[in-house]
Amino acid sequence: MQPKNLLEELMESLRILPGVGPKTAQRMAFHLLERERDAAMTLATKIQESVTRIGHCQRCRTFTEEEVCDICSNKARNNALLCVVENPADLLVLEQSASYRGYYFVLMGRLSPLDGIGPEALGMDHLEVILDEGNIKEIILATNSTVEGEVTAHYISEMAASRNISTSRIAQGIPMGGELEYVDRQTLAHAIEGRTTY
Amino acid sequence: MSQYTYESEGFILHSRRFRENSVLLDVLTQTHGRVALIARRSVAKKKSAFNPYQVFSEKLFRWRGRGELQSLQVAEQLRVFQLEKMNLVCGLYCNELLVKVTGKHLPMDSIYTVYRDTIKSLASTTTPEFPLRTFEAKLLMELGHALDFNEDCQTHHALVDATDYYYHPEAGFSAATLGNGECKVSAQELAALSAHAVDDEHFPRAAKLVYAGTIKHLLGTKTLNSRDLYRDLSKFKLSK
Repeated sequence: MQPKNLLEELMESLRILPGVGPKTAQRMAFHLLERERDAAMTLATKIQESVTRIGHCQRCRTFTEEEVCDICSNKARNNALLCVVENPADLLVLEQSASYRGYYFVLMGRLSPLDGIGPEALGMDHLEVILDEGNIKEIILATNSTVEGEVTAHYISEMAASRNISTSRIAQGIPMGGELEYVDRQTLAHAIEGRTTY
Repeated sequence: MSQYTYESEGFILHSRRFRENSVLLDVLTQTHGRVALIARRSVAKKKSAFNPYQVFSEKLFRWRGRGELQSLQVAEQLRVFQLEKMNLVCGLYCNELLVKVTGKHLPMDSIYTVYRDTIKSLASTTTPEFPLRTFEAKLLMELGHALDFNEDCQTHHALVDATDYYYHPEAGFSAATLGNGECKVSAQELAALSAHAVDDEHFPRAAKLVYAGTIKHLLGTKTLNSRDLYRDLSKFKLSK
């Protein structure tokens, strides 16, 4: 087999990105080489720098280039509230909603016995240390509404209950702008169960 | 339907993302036992926040193919069982157990019925231990590892009602000790186990020990992660 040339290697490397197949990788490679050579150089440098310098926040485990991320360093936030999310992307959307001003804990996954993902892999021991500090009064469980997300939420709620810390779960139901006719049965059942006084 | 198209009711035991647009499913079907299916998510579904391949919902599956991994055509939801908190962990234990002790493409109609009954019970009970022990007992029976309450495995004499016995997963009940890996059950516990009297006060401890021992023997070097999770959660409850 002939060794691959650099262009082929570039196309193959681009295919690691989500949603990028052979055709898209080819388009991207030609676009960078034909029209965006300077931007391609900047992109390459930024990727290298990011991979080298970005690690996990020592406190909440989200991605950061510092030892402690901006959110955890912000003393103006409510230190009695801790919101537990599965991924840094979940943290980002919650921040963008501007509805929450407490701190976060990012699990970087969820409990999944059949995938061999247990409490250690999600940093539960680190979460226990944070809870034992005694500042947190409420944990908001914002894990996904999947079976694994629910199991993870239950695990954390039991961990919190053993320390007399209250927990709440984000509400589940009809999305904004949603029409009942098009909502699935499970979501509707949750919405009815979790109805609030109007 | 073509020669290699199949249809059956079933439960997803496990699902995981595969590449960008696909999901790999481990499905327990009523007519074909456990099958591995690949579901290619449509663009509309991919962008939706809803994952249609959740466990603990009974679906009508239609799939095709001949190899080890077959292709899902349709998964129509029939019933959803809402398991919560500790019962959810118990449900995952049932799934993990099935995945680790049963083979693929072996028709298991009775195991399917037992599994469905167990999930249905777990969706409504506050005492998950009872349906779990029944699930374990029936699963072991279907796999050819039913407990022998008729005779002493060493002497081959009939078991005596008033005697305490040792249970050894590889051999069975014996009045004399057989060494490592065994547990001791009292005469009352043996009677409760033999009758599968889940309400009897002597049943829970013995059933847990005996079935766990047999399952451990069946699993060999494999471990049950959901059991470890259950233990962790029990520790939290005790420390409250």
